Amino acid sequence: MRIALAGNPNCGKTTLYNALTGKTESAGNWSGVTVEKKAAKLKRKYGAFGTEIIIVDLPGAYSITPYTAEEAITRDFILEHRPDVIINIVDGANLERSLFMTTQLLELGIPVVIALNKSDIIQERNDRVDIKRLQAELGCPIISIVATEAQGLRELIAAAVKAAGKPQRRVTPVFGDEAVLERHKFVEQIAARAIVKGDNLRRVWLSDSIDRIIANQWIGLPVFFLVMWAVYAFSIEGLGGFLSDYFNETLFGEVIPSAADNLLSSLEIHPFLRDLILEGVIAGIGAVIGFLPLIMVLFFCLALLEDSGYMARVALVMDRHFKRIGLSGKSIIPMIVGSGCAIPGVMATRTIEDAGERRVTAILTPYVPCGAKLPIIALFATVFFPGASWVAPSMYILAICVIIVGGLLLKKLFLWENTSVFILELPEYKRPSLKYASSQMLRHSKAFIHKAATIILVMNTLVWLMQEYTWLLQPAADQSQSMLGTIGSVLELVLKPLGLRGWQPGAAAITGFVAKENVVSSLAILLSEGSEAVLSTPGGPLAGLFNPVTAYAFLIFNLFTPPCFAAIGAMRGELGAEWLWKGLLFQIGVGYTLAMLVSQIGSLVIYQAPAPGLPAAVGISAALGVFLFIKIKDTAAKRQALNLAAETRS
Amino acid sequence: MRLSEIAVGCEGIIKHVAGTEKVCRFLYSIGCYPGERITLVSVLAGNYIVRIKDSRFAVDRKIAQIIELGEVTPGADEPDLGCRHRQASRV
Repeated sequence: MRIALAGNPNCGKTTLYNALTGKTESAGNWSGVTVEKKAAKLKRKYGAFGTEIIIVDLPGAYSITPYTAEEAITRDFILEHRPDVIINIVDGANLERSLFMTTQLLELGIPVVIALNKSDIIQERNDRVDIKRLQAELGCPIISIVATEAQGLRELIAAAVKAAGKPQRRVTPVFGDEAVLERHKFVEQIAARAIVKGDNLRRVWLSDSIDRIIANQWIGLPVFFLVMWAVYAFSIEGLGGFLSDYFNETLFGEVIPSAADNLLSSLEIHPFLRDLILEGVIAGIGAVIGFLPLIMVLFFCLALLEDSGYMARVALVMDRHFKRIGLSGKSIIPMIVGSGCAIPGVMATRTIEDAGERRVTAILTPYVPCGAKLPIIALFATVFFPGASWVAPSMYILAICVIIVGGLLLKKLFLWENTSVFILELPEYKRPSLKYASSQMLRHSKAFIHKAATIILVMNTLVWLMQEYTWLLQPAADQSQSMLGTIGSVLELVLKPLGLRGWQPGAAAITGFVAKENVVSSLAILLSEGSEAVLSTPGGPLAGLFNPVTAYAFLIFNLFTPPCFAAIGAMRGELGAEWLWKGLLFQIGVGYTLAMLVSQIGSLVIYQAPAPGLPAAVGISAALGVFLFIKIKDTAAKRQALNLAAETRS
Repeated sequence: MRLSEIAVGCEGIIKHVAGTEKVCRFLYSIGCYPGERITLVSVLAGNYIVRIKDSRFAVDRKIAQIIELGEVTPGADEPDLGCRHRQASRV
């Protein structure tokens, strides 16, 4: 039996879905967090009904007549797959508006059960809802629930199962898609008869006062930077960094390697296998897992921030700035989702209805450093900038700058006009739930560990083998003659204008495209040989390859060139093949140029000496400048021609 | 009078929404349709914060300009705000 959950954005659908299925999907309180339908089995504690019950969570929509792509999913799913019963989640705090969609769902001929969510807010506001009357007016059962507290869910499921598959007698008239106003009038009348409004002024007034500071036209942006600075400094250099240091130095630096060494020696296993496990697997994975505390702290903080209602205000503040580069506040939503992982971030661009804006947002979203890039940032920050709290936040600020400049460039390079409008619901502020933040933290750490134990493990084994053996499968006398060494040497030429020396940076960067954490683990494997020091100690083995300026440039290179393959796949899904290539070229160009400029200019300013590869860097910059100049002029000419054509037509 | 022209704290009855069919349809679905009451709560960062039914929405200037209001009155529901006059030129 399939039960579909449908309702307005921010009505608590995903919270209910998580409670019913035991999943921990991210449940933002703004539209666009759920862009694809999700399905899972009902938890057994809500009752055994003899058949398997699948709960399907649909993206939120205000209406089932689609406006954006994710709203179309809701309608298409219901019409094509015809679930056995629809649970329509109705937001108690927005009862009248929610009933609009209810009347639409009732017309589909599928039994509907209403879950009246946030019934605690109804009480708090002293609103009175005459449930009996509402049931009679709508002709379907209504169950009061509080999804965040998991109250009333058993009754809800029982009612849904009872209603499933049986025809429901329709008491509401059929309006169809066109008679929108008549439908609204009808809903108004029902609401007037069944709802008595209490007093809601104080709460609302508080929300507005906070908004006047946080979303202020002048201080809104500085407040946002300050908040982000605090979150990242706390997670990467504060508590998270402190715990990570312990993990890296003590646990994975001493305790585990020596224990594993003793164990493997006592088992008298083949030295080849011993080396593979110690130098490949443990060194590699340890270098990544060491950063787990940092990931946990960061996602805990971000979930708290999101749950409080702040992120919708960020979209509001950014709207005017993004409008200047042809985007809108809507583009900020995928980017904030992308700070966790670029894949759902890129997918969230679907909520943007303007095609040009959607494309540009999908190309720019991977610039926001995702969770997987965090270990790279943390590693380089601790090794080359010990004690400095600005490195990690600077990467995020740089990301915002790259997004703004990148957006401007894309607007100049490609021909498009933004026609989208900005309409965003502002949820009331609320005290963030520690329970939700903890569940998000656990979800992200689980995913992180899972990734380390699968894709990173495989990659580490491969990297270790490739740096031990030559292409002829002979043990390499010198690492640089190994398979990885020769690949890295080719890349060394490419990375030379960035002031980078040695084949290891290129080799590590290339493994980063499988998963960005691999940059850290590969460096650990490549540098662990012949060095007892832990990778993340200041002045450790990394200092032989980089100085602080080139380290910072390498960090930029890894963060601002294209994301991992999985995220590139997501980009392909949203952009299509042609724009994917344009997007990737753009990302490579921006990341490479930025790293080059930082390295060369930084070296000249700080060390008063050019970094290696300066002539090549100058040549590349000049060529790039000429290319951009020609391309921008070309686009401007095309735009003018198009405008002229439009004028003559009108 | 358009939504973009009224003072903060005022409320009005929507007379007409002049956008494309798609935009109108979306505005209607959030409750912004002719005959419904709308309150301008504040103008923040260039966006118009409005109250429609029980929820708050931020809409940009483009949208505020296509929402045509009938009678505009000082908002009774927003005791703190009053109906202060705002310079028409402010963005």
